[in-house]
Amino acid sequence: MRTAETPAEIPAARELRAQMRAWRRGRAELKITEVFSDAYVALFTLAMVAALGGNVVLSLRRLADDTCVAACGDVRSAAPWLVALATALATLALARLLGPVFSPPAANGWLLSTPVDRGELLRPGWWRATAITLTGAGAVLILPAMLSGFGFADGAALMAVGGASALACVGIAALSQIHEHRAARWCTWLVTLALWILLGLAATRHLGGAPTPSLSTESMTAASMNTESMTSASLAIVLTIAAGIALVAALLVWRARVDVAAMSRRVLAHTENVSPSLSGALSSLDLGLMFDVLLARRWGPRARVHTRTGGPQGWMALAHRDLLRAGRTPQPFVLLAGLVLVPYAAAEADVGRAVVLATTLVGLLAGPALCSGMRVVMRTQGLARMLAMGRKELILAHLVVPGTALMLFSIATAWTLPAALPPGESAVLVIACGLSTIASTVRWVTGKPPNYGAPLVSTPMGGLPPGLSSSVSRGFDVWAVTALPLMFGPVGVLVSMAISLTVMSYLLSESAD
Amino acid sequence: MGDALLTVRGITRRFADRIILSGVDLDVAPGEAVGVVGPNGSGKSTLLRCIVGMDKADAGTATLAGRTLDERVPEIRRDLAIAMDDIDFFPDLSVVEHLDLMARAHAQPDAQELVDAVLDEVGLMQVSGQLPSTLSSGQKRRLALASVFVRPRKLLVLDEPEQRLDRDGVRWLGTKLLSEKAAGRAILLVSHDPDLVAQVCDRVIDLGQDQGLERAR
Repeated sequence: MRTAETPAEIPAARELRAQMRAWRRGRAELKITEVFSDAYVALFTLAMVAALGGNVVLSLRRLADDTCVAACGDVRSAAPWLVALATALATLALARLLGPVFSPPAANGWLLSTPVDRGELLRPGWWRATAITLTGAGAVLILPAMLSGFGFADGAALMAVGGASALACVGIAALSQIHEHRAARWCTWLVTLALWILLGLAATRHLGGAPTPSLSTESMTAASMNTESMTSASLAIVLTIAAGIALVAALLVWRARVDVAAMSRRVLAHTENVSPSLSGALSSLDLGLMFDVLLARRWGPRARVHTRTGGPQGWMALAHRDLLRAGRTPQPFVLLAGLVLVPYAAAEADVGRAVVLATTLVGLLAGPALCSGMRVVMRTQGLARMLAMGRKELILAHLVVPGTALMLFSIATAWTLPAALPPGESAVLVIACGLSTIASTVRWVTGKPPNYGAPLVSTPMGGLPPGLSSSVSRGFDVWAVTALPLMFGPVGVLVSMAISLTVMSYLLSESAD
Repeated sequence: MGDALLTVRGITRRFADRIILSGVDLDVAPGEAVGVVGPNGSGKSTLLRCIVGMDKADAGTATLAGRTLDERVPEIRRDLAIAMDDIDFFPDLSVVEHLDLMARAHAQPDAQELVDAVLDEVGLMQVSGQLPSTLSSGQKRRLALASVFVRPRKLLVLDEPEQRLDRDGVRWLGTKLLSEKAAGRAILLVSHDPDLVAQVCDRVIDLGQDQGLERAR
């Protein structure tokens, strides 16, 4: 046996990858005809879906061109920039959550412990992350670019700005991950704040100088009164901005490409299990499990807390603990406060009473993150069994803090309601919005996962595990039946409140367990 | 003691307000085995993780053959063989492929013969074509240990290597570690098995009493 004293030439990472590929191919169970058959089906499906999607988008664009007038045209012109900024923001958040430099646990154990060049091992993953970012951003931005009435050049400029921004965000996230400097983390938060401010300005039409779309010739007559063409001057501005952001993005990506060689296994270990766990939860359509994975990542080995003891007794101890938890992790509450922007943007778009749909939906989307205490006691019976409380007391105790936050959120959107509404009706409508949000959030948090152990249920789509379809629509079902009645005057508001309270009383009862 | 291969000075690790490791020093010379013992939660595994760079110590240094022990440096990885409890496996590579991969990544010139010999030695020859998902927990542990022996190494860092091994397995492990010592390799071993520690280790650091109290054997 050769000993460590005799240095040997270490193989390149690509040689090892080629070896692993050869092993994997060696045990392929499909025949070549089956591979071609599968490829044909995949390509055919892709072409069908793309054609259908393209057709829908083009039809929607024609419809929008023909019907969009006044405020609608204003919203239409702002929508692409809103989506581009929101995409960059979401990309930054996702990148920090998943890595963005990622290496699976097995590779960390078996390959990163060897003297093979670490940079060479990690770079293919990094290039994949950048390619997925560009493809994803392009796929998201093509819809608003088409629907907003942009011409080819304008649409391409929008996609260039959006794609480059998303890529720059991934580059910032990667450098923050690699270097772990406090400054890098602050930089990430500053970029987040800047994007949020820009998003707010775009949503409230204060983003001066943002180019508006040119219109297709056939719709020019209908819409010429309320939209402006993107002039060559504004197109030049957009292209200049795109070039600037693309340059920054390229520099960041290149710098991260170089620096991945210096990444430690410790840093990679922070995120190595997140993607596989999220994929597993997603494949079983268990959204609650995804929440649990994110919760576990937040409170992983790096997390630190300052111990706080004492406080009230009984059910109030749980509420008090939630209050301490909110102080320890204020991010979900800050996010909820930031999302007040959405109803205000909807009000700016002059959607009238329909703003309540935006308010309640945003409340539902942000609500579960406030309810981590409730989620943990409800996901298994282990903890609940240890507390001398019934289900009703347990949920209500864990609802004090998030319920108050959601109700305050609803109250904060009171100024988005149509001014024509009498003050009394506005006040009741705000409370109804809050109740709708709370009921749908509790429904989401307390729902059971799909039961893969039970016999399949026969459906028109074939056999499905019990609870699979309701798992996906969980929370949104309650939102639909409680938020939609809010659109229909005072009677609708009372109906909505009655449904919310009925749903809550059922979810609190032992029979819902 | 002669020139130490591994030198650890002042390793300190806190979790919140609790100090788990407080200024731990240790040296391991070539051909020497040092055991780290102590009750659950005394910081044994944390100490190993801080030394090999899988956790970040709040203070302290570790050097391997005079160089700062930074696992990002390929030369350090070449000399440092680690078997911790959290090893993962490629779900689509068989047992022998895992070991072959490890041997080739370390540029072992006689990889195939070496892998076969180690497979035979750890008792995995019969399951060498199986995927990790089909192995028992004890067999997975043997595979993790085998990964240490198919590669070049100067220092072995082992975290409770006897875990999930049967009685014969523990006996084999003791003999194997003695032969590693005889070959001039250094061993840093965390274990809850007093017999294994007594058989293999020249010195023992007990983290359970006054931290870092050393017992010469």
